[in-house]
Amino acid sequence: MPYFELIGQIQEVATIAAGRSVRDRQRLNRGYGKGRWRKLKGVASVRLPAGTTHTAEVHWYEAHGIGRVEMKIKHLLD
Amino acid sequence: MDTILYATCKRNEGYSASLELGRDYRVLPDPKAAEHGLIRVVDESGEDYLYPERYFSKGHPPRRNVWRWVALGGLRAFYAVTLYRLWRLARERVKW
Repeated sequence: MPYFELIGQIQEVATIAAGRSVRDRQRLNRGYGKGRWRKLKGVASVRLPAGTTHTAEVHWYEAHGIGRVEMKIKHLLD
Repeated sequence: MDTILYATCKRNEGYSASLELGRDYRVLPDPKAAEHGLIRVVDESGEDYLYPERYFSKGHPPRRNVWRWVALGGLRAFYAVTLYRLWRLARERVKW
């Protein structure tokens, strides 16, 4: 459960790592189950706990059958 | 100005793979993030991300594991003493 809220769709989705390139692979398998993990990035509008809304570059992990986990903010773009 | 280089993770809801409870993480300066109650932390992935400040407590640079070095030194000392005793025993028997 991320600490921020996603508003709308994620744009400009791109895969930045897959398979062995995902450093957290073992921790992800332990925490969420075995899967073919990918690390992705995108741009989305997010609402922070303070209530402010920003455009941010977000990264997350995804595996088929498990879904999207551990979405985190890399940069605030505005 | 108080510069924090490390912070200890005290909460990791939703980030069990990225953050480990009780572990020290390197904090990078980010004044823009600080305005929003966030800090930039190098997490388990090796990359820096923004996390809420409440997930961390101000930390100190990770201390070296002193007890590990003491234990190692103890083991080496044990081996050294044992070898010395064997040498003494051998010398007495052989009468060098």
